[in-house]
Amino acid sequence: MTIIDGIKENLSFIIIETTKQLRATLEFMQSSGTDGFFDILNRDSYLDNLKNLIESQCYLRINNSTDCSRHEINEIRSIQTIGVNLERMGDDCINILRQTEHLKNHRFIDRFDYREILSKLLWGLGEVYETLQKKDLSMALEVCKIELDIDVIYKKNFDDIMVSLKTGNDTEDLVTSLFILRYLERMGDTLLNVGEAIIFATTGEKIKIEQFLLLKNNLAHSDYEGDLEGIDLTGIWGTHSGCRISKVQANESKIGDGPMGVIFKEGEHSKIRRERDNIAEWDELYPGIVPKVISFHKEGETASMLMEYLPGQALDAIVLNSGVEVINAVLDSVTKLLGQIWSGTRQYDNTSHKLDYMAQLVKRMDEVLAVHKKFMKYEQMLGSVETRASKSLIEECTKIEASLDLPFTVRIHGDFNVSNLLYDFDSGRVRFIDVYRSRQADYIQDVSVFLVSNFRIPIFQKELRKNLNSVIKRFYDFSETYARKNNDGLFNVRLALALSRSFYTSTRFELNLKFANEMFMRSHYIMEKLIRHKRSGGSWEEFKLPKQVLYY
Amino acid sequence: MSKEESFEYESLQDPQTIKELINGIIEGFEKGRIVLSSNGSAITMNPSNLLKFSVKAKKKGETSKLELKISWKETSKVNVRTNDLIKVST
Repeated sequence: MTIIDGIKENLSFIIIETTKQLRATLEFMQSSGTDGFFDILNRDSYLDNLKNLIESQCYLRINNSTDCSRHEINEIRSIQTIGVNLERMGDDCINILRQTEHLKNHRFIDRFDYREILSKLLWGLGEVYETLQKKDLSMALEVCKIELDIDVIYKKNFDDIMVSLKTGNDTEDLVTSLFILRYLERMGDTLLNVGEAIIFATTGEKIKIEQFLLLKNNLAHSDYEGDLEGIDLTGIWGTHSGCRISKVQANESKIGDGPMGVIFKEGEHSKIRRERDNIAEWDELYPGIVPKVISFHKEGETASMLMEYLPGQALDAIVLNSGVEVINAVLDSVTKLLGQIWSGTRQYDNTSHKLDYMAQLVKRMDEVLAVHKKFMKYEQMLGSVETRASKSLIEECTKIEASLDLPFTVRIHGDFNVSNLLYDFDSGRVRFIDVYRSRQADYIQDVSVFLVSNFRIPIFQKELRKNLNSVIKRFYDFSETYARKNNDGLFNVRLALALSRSFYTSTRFELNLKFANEMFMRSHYIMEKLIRHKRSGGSWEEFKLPKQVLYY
Repeated sequence: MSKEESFEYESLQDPQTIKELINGIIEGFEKGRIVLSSNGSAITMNPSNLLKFSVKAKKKGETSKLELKISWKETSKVNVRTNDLIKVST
């Protein structure tokens, strides 16, 4: 017998034992005396031992082997979680037993639906082993859904108890019954954990049941021809901008004529809807530049959508994994496309548009301080010299910003960082993803975010840093040339404002204090430069950006 | 034990601003009083008498470092034990 067979055998034992405990608890509650009370108590230590045994075997298997596939590791992790949760379910049986001792009238509990809850739990338990063996996703979902049903029953019984309590009769027995029902409700939560563990073993993805039901709905409303069993989920970026993103793909075993992978994105309704609308606008302007939306589904405050999975590599991966010639060629494609977009969407009527880089900074300040609580400088006296506080620098830069005219607006990506750009080597195409912030605005917004997103990559190896620096230089030169050709004399001052915002707010993603501090100090240096220039009385066209801040 | 007071400042600057910042401190040496303050708390230093001054410089690859360190004892009295004085009697 292999270790994994041994683990599964013990899993099967722990399921049987937990089932026995649940049945015995049900019988005890239905009986009138103390029959079975001690049997249940005694069996609990066996459940404990089984759980510990499973846990040891699982860790042993993972630790002592080099040949564990990802699939097997997921299954082992799942079994370990199931073991822990079943043992907890057993503990709750004991808790219920202890509570019944407080009932003045042992039959008082008959007024409530404990039988229905226990029989639902028993049904779910009965499906666990087979569902895990067959990696049956639909059945795993059914197991998960039991918790929802139990919650409804609990709520109804809870309300009944509240009404009865107001009469003042049977108070003690009502409170004890409430405790018993609460333990039963918790057993539902525990079964949900078991169901989610099976989903994890099946898909390799820790997805919550609510998200899975959303995904199911989306698939039902799309042209996706497979069913839930035919898909693989891969968390690509985990959570991103508050949205959860996964890649959904046909299982290798089921690949046939099925569709290629799709992206499942779920999050706040307004964000997902904005992204859908922006995708539609981009697609009309530049067909194929963004992924197509396959389906959109709203449920309460959240929404989800399925999008086409675009082939290609993210630009940051290319920059870190390719030679300089490839990087330059890809960057040329990016800047060429960008030049076309900027010129193609340029508008000169900007009366309603105000620069808001400093406002963006202020908006994210709490998030920065949550990570780096010292990233807010106070005034300091160094002998006879007074240094500026962060707050006063930002306030003065806000005034500078308000005094500047915007020469024109273009359609911007809105979150133009390197990981939101894809390049497909087969077709030579550049694509945008994550466009929920796209709008008509100052092109400097995208320039600044792009430059700092390269800077902030925490890679310090000399050669790779050179790659990043040369991407920064090429992109800066391209933007500066564009500004010059389009008579944008305020390019440098606006870029300085935008960079001080990007450097400052990027620190919230960087836990390496030394590196984060580099960005924080750069932000202050730029703001101080702007204020000195203003005080010198020079025109903003003459402002020179201290370009060395762009490179690390 | 006496309370430890401290002050820290760090920033990125160009040479012109560095000169201004150092000048602010030089003025303090001339007056015999340097005030360093931050967020309401201040530390006052009174450089006088004997000051130890050390300069350290280091260049490694692209990184250069220049350290100026001035330290002294701030006390108005000479630290001697009165009962250690030699008594001469005849």
